[in-house]
Amino acid sequence: MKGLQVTDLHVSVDSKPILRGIDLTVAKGEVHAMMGPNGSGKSTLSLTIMGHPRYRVESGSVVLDGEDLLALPVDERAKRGLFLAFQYPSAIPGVSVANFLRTAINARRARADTKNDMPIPQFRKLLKERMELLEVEDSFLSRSVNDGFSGGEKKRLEMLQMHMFQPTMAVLDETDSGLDIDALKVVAHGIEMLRGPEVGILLITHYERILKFVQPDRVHVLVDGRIVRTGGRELAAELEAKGYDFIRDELYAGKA
Amino acid sequence: MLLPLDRDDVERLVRSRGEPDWLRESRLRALERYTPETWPTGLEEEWRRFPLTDLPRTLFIREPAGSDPPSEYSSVPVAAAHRGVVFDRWIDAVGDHPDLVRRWLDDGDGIASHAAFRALNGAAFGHGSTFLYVPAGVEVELPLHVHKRWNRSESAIVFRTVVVAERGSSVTFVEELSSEGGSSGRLALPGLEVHLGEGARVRYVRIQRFADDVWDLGSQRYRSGRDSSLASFNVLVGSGRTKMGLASDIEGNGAEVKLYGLVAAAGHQRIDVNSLQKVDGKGSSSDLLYLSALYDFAKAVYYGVIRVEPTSSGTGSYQECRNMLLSDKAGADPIPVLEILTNDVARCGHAATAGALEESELFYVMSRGFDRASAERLLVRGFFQRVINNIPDVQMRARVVDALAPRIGRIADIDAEIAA
Ligand SMILES: Nc1ncnc2c1ncn2[C@@H]1O[C@H](COP(=O)(O)OP(=O)(O)OP(=O)(O)O)[C@@H](O)[C@H]1O
Ligand SMILES: [Mg+2]
Repeated sequence: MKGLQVTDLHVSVDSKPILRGIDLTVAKGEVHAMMGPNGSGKSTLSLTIMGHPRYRVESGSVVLDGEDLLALPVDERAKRGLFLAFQYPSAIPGVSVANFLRTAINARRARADTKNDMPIPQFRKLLKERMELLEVEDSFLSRSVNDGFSGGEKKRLEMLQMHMFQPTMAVLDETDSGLDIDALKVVAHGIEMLRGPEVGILLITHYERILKFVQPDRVHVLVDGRIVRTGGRELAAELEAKGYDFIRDELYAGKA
Repeated sequence: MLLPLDRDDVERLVRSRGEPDWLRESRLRALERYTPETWPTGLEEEWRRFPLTDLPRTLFIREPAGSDPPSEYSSVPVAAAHRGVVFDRWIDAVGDHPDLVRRWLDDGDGIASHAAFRALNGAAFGHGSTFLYVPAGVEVELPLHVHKRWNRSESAIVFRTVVVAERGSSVTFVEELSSEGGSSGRLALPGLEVHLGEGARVRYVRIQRFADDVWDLGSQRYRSGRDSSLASFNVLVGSGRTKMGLASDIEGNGAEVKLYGLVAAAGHQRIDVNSLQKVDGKGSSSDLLYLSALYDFAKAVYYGVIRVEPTSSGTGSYQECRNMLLSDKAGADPIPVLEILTNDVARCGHAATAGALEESELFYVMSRGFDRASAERLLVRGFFQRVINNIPDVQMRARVVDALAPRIGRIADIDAEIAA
C-alpha cells in the first residue's frame, strides 16, 4: 500500500507507557487530522514515526509505502520521503537558514557512487518560489536556523523546509499553534499546496480553526494514548463545541 | 625538573647564527631569568592540571644545517614595502634592520608561573623566528601570511615572533605552524609578542597544526596602546600537548582587545590554556571567547584571569569558554577568575560551560536527512561559527576551516554565499 500504516503501536518513554495500541492509515492523497488533549501522546506518535531514540517501541509496526520504518535510522526515513514539522523545533546556532536548506537537500540527494548536488541556480529558484508561496522574508535566509526565532517564525521555517524537501508523507505537529490569523492562512495555504495525489499528510492540531482552511479527509481523536474516535470533518466541530470531556465521559462511563 | 640550558649552549647558538652583541646580551639576560625557582612546581593554579613529568627533554640546540625551517612567507605588497614595512625571517631582519629589531626586544613579563618558558624562549629562540614591523600610519591591506613547516627531527622548535604595529597603522597576519611527526617527543616553545601603538589595528591568526608528538608550551603577549584595536585568533588543532600562556595588557584609554580561540582536539590530546587579561585605561575593553570541540579522549583545560586594574575606569571585559564534548571520554575544565580592583566598571563577567551535544538537536538535524556523523559535524561547525565569523578575510577563514577539517570534518556549502 502507498502511504503510512501504523498498526497496534505501543510506545513508552522511560518505561512509562504512552501510546497504547495505535492503528492509523494515511493513504497517499489523503489529509488526516489528529486531535487530542495535552499529554495524550500526539507528539509521541509523531516523534516515534520519525524515529526519536527516546521513544521506545514496545510492539506494533510503522510502515511507509510498504517498507518497515522502524528498521531504519532517522535520516533514512527522511530520505524515504517522510517529513516531520516539529512542535518544538531546535535552534542550530551558526548555521544560516539558506546554508542549512542547501546542505540538507544535498544530503538527501547524496548517493554512494556519485555527487548529485542540486546546482546553485536551481536551488535559488526553488527557494525563491517557495519563499514567495509561504510569504517568508529574505532576511530569514541569513539568520541562524531557529536561533532567536519567535514561535511563529519557527513554524514558518518548518513549512519552508517542508516545501523545500517535498516529502511524500508529512506529519505536522501543531504547526498551526501560536500563529496569528494571517500566518495561519499562510500555513494552511502551504499545506494545501503540498496536498496532492502523491502526498499523505497527518495534521496534528488542537484547533478546529485550521480545518476551516484545510479540509481533512478524516479526523481522529487521541486520548490517553489511544485513538478513541475517528470521523469526518464534523467530528472536529463537535470537539470544538464540547471539548474533550464528552469523549472521556463516554469512554470511561461505567468504569467509575 | 629544569630543562638543561647553559651559557655554552647559548653562545654556540649565537655563533652559529652570527648574531650581534646586543642580541647575544638579550639572550644571556633571558638565561639569567631562567632559574629553578621559575620552574612550575605543579601547585600553581595554572599548572595543577598539566603535569610536566613526561615533557620531552631533548631540548637543544643544534641548529641544523640551513638556518630556517622551510617557511613560506607571503610577499609584502610593493607599496607597503616602500613605506617601510618589514616582514621577514628574524635572522634577515637582524641583518637588514638591526636598530629596529633591537628597539622591540621586549623582556616584559606575562603570566608569572609561565616565566620559565618565556625565559627559555628568549634565550634559545632560533629558526622559524619572524619579525613584522609596520611603520606609523601604514595600512597593509592584504593579509600577510607565513607557513612554517618543521621537518622530522628530535630537536626542539623554539622561535620568536614579534609584531609591531606603530601608531595608526594596520595589519593582518596569519601564522601557520606545522611539523612532520615521528619523533619520540618534541618540544615546541613558540613565543609571540604583539605591540600595538596608539590607534593601531592588528588582526593576528595563529593556526597550530603540529603533529601529535609535539608538546607546545607557547607564550603570547599582547600590549595594546591607546585607542588601538586587537583581534587575536588561536586555532589549536595539532599537538600532543599544548600549554599556552597568553597575557594581554592594555596600556592606554579606549583600547579594544578581542581574544578568540578555537580548540579542536582528538585522540589523547590535552590542550591547556591560561590567560591573563589586564584591563586598564578609561573605556577600554577586553573580551575573550574560547570554544572547544573535544573528541575521543581529548581534554581541554582553561584557567584564565581578568584583572581590572585599580587605575582603570569604565572598562568592559568578558571571558567566555565553551566546550562541546563529542565523546563520553572527552573532558573539559573551564575555570574563569575575575579580579576587579575598582568600583568603576562598565561591565565585567564570565561564562563557562562543558557538555555533550543535545540529543534533541541531533535528532532535529538528522530528521532533515543527515546521518549522525554529518549532523554532528554541522552542529560543531555552527558552534565554531561565532569565532569564524569574526575572522576578517574570506581567504583566512578558508584557511582556518581547512585546518579544522581533520578534526571537525567538512560541511560543503556551509560558507557558500547562496542566499538568492
Ligand atoms: N521525553 C519525554 N520524557 C518524559 N515524558 C515524556 C516525554 N515525552 C512525552 N512524555 C510524556 O508522554 C505523555 C504524552 O506526551 P506528548 O508530548 O506526546 O503529548 P501531546 O499530546 O503532544 O501533548 P501537547 O498537546 O501538550 O503537545 C505526557 O504525559 C508526557 O509527559
Ligand atoms: Mg505535542
